[in-house]
Order: sequence, then C-alpha cells, then structure tokens
Amino acid sequence: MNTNTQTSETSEVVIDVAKSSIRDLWTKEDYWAIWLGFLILIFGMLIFFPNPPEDMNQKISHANAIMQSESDTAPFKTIGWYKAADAKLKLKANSVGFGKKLKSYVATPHGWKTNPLDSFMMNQKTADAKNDAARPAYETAKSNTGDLLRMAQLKEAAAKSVGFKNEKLNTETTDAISAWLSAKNKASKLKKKTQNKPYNQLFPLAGLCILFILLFGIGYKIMGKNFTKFAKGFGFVFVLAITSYMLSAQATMKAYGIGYAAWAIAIGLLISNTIGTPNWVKEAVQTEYYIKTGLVLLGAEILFSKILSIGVPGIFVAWVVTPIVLISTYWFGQKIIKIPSKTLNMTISADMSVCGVSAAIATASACRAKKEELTLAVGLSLVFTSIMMIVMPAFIKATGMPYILGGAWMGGTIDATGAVAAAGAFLSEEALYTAATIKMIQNVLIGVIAFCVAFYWCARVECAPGQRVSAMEIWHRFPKFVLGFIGASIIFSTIYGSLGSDVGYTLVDQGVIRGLTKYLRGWFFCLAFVSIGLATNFRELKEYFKGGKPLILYFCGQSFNLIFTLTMAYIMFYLVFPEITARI
Amino acid sequence: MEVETHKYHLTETAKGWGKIFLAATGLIIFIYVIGPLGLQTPMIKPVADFIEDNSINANGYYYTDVAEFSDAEMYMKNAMEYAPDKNNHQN
Repeated sequence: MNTNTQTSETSEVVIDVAKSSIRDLWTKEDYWAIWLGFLILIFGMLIFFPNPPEDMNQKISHANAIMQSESDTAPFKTIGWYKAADAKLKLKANSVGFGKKLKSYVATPHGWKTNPLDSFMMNQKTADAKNDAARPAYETAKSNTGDLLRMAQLKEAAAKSVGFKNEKLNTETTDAISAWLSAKNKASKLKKKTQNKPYNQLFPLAGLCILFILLFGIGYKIMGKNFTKFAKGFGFVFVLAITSYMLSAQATMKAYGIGYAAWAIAIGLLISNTIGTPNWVKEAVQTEYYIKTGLVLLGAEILFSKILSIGVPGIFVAWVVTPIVLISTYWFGQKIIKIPSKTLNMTISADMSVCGVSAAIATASACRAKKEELTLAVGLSLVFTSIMMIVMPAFIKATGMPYILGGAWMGGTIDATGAVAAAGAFLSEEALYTAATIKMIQNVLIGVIAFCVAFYWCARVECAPGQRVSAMEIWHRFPKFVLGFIGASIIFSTIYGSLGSDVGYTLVDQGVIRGLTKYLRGWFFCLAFVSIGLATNFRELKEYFKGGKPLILYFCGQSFNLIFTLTMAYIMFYLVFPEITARI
Repeated sequence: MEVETHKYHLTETAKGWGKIFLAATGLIIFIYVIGPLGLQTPMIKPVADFIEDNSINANGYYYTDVAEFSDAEMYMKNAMEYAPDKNNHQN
C-alpha cells in the first residue's frame, strides 16, 4: 500500500489516500509475510501428511469402537474407555519418521536448573546420571499405578457383576478409576524424567540461523534492501533470541511464568539503552517483518472446529463474554479514563480479555500500534498473569468452589495459556481439562478479533471525522498480512474438518503445527520482541505509562472480566447445561 | 575538541558496559538467590513445585505451546462424543 498525504486547504484536515499496485506483491513486507508463511505451511504439509503413524485409521476406529461400546455398557467412563482414549492420544505424526527429526532441528533451547549449558548440550554421562536419579521415584510411582489399576479393575468387575445398577459400587469404581488415572499421569511424567538422551543443540541452532537469514533475506533483497547488511545483523538478533529462550527455560523462571517475550524485550532494551544498538545490527531489527510472518503461521493454529470442544457453555464463556469485555474495556479506556492512544487502548483491551501475549501481538499488528504500546501491554499481561496463576487456584480452594467452575473461570480470565494449564492442573484433572478447553476456544477468537480490529481501524479510526471511506479505500488501507493470517486459519480449519477430528489431531495438530510451525512461529515472535527492545528508548516507553492509565485500564477491565466470566460460567455450567458438566 | 568528544564517547561506552555488567549480576542473583527464595513462600511454593514436578510449560503463550492442552482437548472431545448414559443404568 502506498500512502499519499493530502492536506485539504479549507479544513487543514490531513487525509490519507492509499493506493495499491501489483508491485506490492513483491515489494511489501505484508505480502512477503504471507508468501513465507505459506511456504512453511506447505512444506509442513508435504512432510507430515504423507507420513501418518502406522495403521492410524485402524487404530482410531478400534479405539472409537471400544469407547462407544464401553459408554453403552457402563454409566461411567470405564478403564477400557480411558485406555482407548489414551491409545488415540499416542497417535502423533511428529513422533514418527522425519517428522520426529524435524522437531529437533527447529526446537528451542532445553530446560535447565543451575547450569545454562544444559540448555544447549548434554553428554551421555549427564543424561545417564539424571535418568538414574529419577528412576527410584518412577519405579515407586509405576508400582503404585499398577496397584491402583488392579484395585480399579476389581471394583469395576464388582460393579459390572450387578449390571452397574448398584450406585454405591459405581461410585467406588469411579473413585478408584480417578485414583488410578491420577497415579498414571504422575508416573508418566516421572517416566519422561528417566528418558533423558544426550543432545547438542548448537549445530541445529546454527543451521536455523542460516535458514532464517535465507528465508527473510531473500524477501528483503527482492524488496530492494541490502541482503548482506541484513545477514550481518541477523546473527546478533538471533543470538539474543536464543538467550531469551534460554532464560525462559530456566526452572525458576518457568515457575514464575516469565517467558521468552519478557526476556527478549528486556535484553533488547538493556542493550539499546546502555551501549546502544550497534549500527551494523540495525538492518536486521525488522519487528514487523518477523511478527507478520509469525502471525501467518499462527493463523494455521486457529482451527475453528475447536470452538465446539465443550459445547454451548464453552462458546458462551469464551466467545460471548470475551468480546463484551473487550469492547467494554476499550470504551472504558476511551470515555472514562481517556487514554490518548486508541491503539494502546485496543492492544491492552485485547491482551487482557483474550489471551495475553499472542492476542496483543495480533491486535497490535492489526491496528498498527506502536512498538512501545505492544511492550507495555505485554508487560502488564505478564505481571498480572504471574499473580493470577498463584492467587486464583488458592482462592478457588479456599472458597470450596467446584473445580469445573473454577477451571472455566481461570480459562476465561488468566491471560497466558501456559499459566492456565499450570493453575488448572494444580486444582484437578477436571479443572485442567475445563480451563484448557475454554482457553483454547478463546485462543481461536484471536483470528476474528484481529480481522475485526483491522477492518474497524481502516473504516472508522484512521480517517478524518465525518469522512466516509469507500470499500476500495478500505481495501487499500487494510493490512494485507491479516488476509494471510485469516486465510491460513480458514484453509487449515477446512483441512482439519475434512480429515475428521481424530485424523486432524494426528496429522494437523500433532503434525504440521506441533511438529514444525509452532516452533517457527515462536522463533519469529521472539526475533520480533528482541527487535522491539533494540529499537525502544526507555524515555519514550515511560511516556506511554504517564498517569498510570494503562495500569488502571488493565485492572478495571480484568476486574470486570473476573466477575462477568464467573457469573457466565456458573449460569452455563451449573444452571443451563448441567448435563454437559456431568460429562466432564 | 575532537579529543574531548572521543573521551566523552569512551566514558559513555564504559558507563554502558558498566550497566550491562550490573544487569547481568542482578540477573544471576535473581536466578540463583532471590528467585528460588521467593518460590519458598507458602503461597507460591505449592504451585511452583507442581509446575516443576509435572514439567508444565507455564510460559506458553498459545494453546499449541502447552502439551496439556492437546490432552484436554481430546479428553473433552471423547467425553462429549462417547459420554456414558447414566439413565440407562438406573434402578
């Protein structure tokens, strides 16, 4: 899009007149983000779709047949039902063949506790020592799981012997099955700790750096910029991205929920505000290029069929409450607090009401917010997420709130997705499943919100008072990468739907997305956050926080979100659809 | 004049590196001393231990970043699609 600024002689109102041309397809980064994103998505499909796990279809049919027969036989989910469900969970395209290897080439640095080098390499001796240290706990858990399984089998047999008509026996059996499941999950986690293997992440990281230089550099060159200068600076930006990931992988940082975005911004800010961003690096500080490409990849993760995962209550909690909170918070920011920047107001509102960092990135890009505004929104979200992750489970426990209600509440209100998993799992399995499903449905909303915000900004915000914007003008102004973002979502949702949810889970969810694109999307966002830090001045950032208005906006919006989500979750899960709650 | 400018730049650079050194020291203290101490507080400790024991990626920003989400989704899907009918087994 070319933007010419014309000044009306009479009113002196500045009106933007946008133009588009066919050349934009190869000279604008919005389009390059789409080409690069789709290139990666097509590559992923070519790798994962032709290589499904062995006998995938038969295994899925078999498992489904067992679950159907078990649900027809017993009034509760039996041991056989859970084992069949487990068998389906194990079918992952990224666990077989080249897909398995590919994951290790694009993966981020490993977790570590005291030695940062563990993040990049581990020798056989250290791996063996870690496995040996973890084995006793695993053996105990394994033995305990075996005992609990036998106990559950005995109880289930007793309940079955009377045709599942004895309520007391049925309750004892479901309790025994729950205890077995809980022990099995614990043993499964402990087993992973006995399966450490030696690794050296340095060579794959070097390869990844070269790949990214070529990927972004070619587009950069065709856009008429200097490839060599970009390549020189990119190495530095990439090293900072690695450092950010490494710090976020440290055990204590994980516990606090301080992720790569916070580290990337902090490291970038530290450098730019102390020794200054070196001139030879500046050519590779390409925030928008990285973010837009990452967002196109994120589009493929927005699978619309997932919104029905928990039925109508989920849609009400995630898709009715969230937009209402978003619009109310934005209105509150404009009319009551009077935040001067509409883009900051919108970015904070979306970040707080939808799902934190990823929503902030998508919305900020859609309304062309400034990098300082995105930084501020992300910072607020990270601070509140850490607090809510600790306080909400404690509050739910203390008040004796039903865990499914608590899970729905946390899923709808805690910003960061990872923190939702931690807080939900801390309560119970049901709370985790409910919280995670609500959050996932809310995550899917990002696509719709980004599109609507981009449209609203083109049609209403970025024009002079009283100006009527034609459809063509909206098209010229519309951030084109959003089309790639939405396009990827529609294409992948269609593929997912046509494959069926079980095969879709195996090939799309656990193949293209979790085996490739989520890693690359994470890297691109991390590069973008490093770039934001490297290009931001502390003093400019301080200006946006003047009067503490962003904090007041976040606090008030989140308070409303907490009350409204809890009310809606209670009405939906306990008054209107109790039968769905009973199924969980 | 040129010498003074050069001196000023050197001082600024030295100051900058000094700040980076201070930040790195602060970071090390946070990772190895203050951070772990904070995790020992009664309210945070149970959640922090739980996250570590269960290897939960509490830093994940999107549902595909967190393994627990795929388990949850499949569980919900199966629970809704193959839900046992309690009414069929009542006395």
